Amino acid sequence: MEDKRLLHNLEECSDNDILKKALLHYREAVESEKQGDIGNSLNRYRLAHKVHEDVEVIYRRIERLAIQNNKEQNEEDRRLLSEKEINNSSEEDELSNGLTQLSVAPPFILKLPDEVLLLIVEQCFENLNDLSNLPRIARSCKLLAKACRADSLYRRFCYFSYQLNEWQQTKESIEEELSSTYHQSWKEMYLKKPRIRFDGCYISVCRYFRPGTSDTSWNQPIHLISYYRYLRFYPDGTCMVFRSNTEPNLIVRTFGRHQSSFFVPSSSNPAFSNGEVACMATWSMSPAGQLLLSHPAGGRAYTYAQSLQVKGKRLKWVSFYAVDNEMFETSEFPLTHHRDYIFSRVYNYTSEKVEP
Amino acid sequence: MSKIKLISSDNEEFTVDRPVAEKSMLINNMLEDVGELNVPIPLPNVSSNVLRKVLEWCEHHKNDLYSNTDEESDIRLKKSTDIDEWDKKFMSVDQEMLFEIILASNYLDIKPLLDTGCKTVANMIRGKSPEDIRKTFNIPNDFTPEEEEQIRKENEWAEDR
Repeated sequence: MEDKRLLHNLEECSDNDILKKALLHYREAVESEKQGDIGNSLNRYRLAHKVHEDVEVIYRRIERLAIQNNKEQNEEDRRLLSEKEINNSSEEDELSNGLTQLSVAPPFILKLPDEVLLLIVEQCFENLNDLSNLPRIARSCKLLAKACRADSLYRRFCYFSYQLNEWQQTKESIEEELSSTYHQSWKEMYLKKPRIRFDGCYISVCRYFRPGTSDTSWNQPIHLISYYRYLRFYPDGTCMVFRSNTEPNLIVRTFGRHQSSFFVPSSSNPAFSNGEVACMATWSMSPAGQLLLSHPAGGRAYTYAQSLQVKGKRLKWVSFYAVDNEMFETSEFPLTHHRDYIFSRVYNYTSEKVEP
Repeated sequence: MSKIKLISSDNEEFTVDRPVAEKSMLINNMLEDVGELNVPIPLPNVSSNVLRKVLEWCEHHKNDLYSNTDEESDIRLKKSTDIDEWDKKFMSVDQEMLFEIILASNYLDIKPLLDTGCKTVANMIRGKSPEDIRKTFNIPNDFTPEEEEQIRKENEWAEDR
């Protein structure tokens, strides 16, 4: 009973959709595991846990409930059956009962003409967060898979990207690019056009060895230096920039411009103890994905600029330099230890309340 | 108010107010063609039980205004809105009727009814696993394992959204 109430509460809470998503991944993981596809199964489990950390506990509860219900149902069936035997019903009756149960409704949905089926599939997507429905719908049957390939569906997705400002471009210039670069194919454009995503953060892991010194000549210590560069982009053209020794799992969930603790050096937040401070940069991107980030530094005497190239979910370093705000002198930093930024989806960001 | 006579595929005659019948672009265009002649309009693709249901919708929505602008080549899309309570209740029928209504609204060219129908079905699809989608609509799995794998790969990019 308690479980039932708990589930009920869960259904009402606001991250219901996220939980549903997580449960779906988890269920598919279990199925893959049963079929022996361990690779896929592991990926799914990972995804499910990423979406919702308590997914396993909840999944188990639901399963237990289902088993319980089933048991009750079975007992009910058995009771009914024995009653029936007592009533001495003829075998023919049972046979016809079985037959009516077998011949359930035919698949009416498959009788719809292609264009109507496409309309239905289009209605399944109201924003970019619905996109995770696409692989599932496509895998249900051939007719729906066909509808999932329609270019008009991708036009809808392109529209979502435009609306969210993932491309930082006007509608007119996007439409122009469609014919000049993407051969009139919305699908090609959606899949290939460089974009900045706001539903996660970009992380660059920097790791290198540095020879140390010691007091004796007996040994020569080697230091492993590792630190992380974090970027979180916002649709309004700003970007939160943060450099820290702290690992992503302690940072990403709360990483956002509304978290003032990231901007205060003497913070009590244990996640960044050594006075690391985040700052806000501005970003701009060309249609081909050349990205420029700039933010003030050194008491506003300098401007730091990161020039990057968007390649799918990666941001590749092009150059990193500082500009003296008075002398306009540019000094470039070497990129020896700089690794690409890689995008990580953070499901928290999608459910964040809209900031004032 | 002038009345229009409609005849279903099984020869049942329906008499409705003109603005109700004109919710259907098909009938609207037919009426323009026949002018003031008061001849019954045959609808050979719609059976009486479906037509009755469709006309009930038209009656309830006869005063709605909707723009029928075509924006096929444009990136803009009409903002999708939620289904209102009356329509939700109207659409809570068995699947056979639901898909008959969708087919009829497609044939009769009643765009808002078609949209509402499609949204209702979309809500039955959203958030479900492939297996659950098949169960909901009783669709057989017609993929070979290789095909299924290919489809999975094809749409892999959308999984972290």
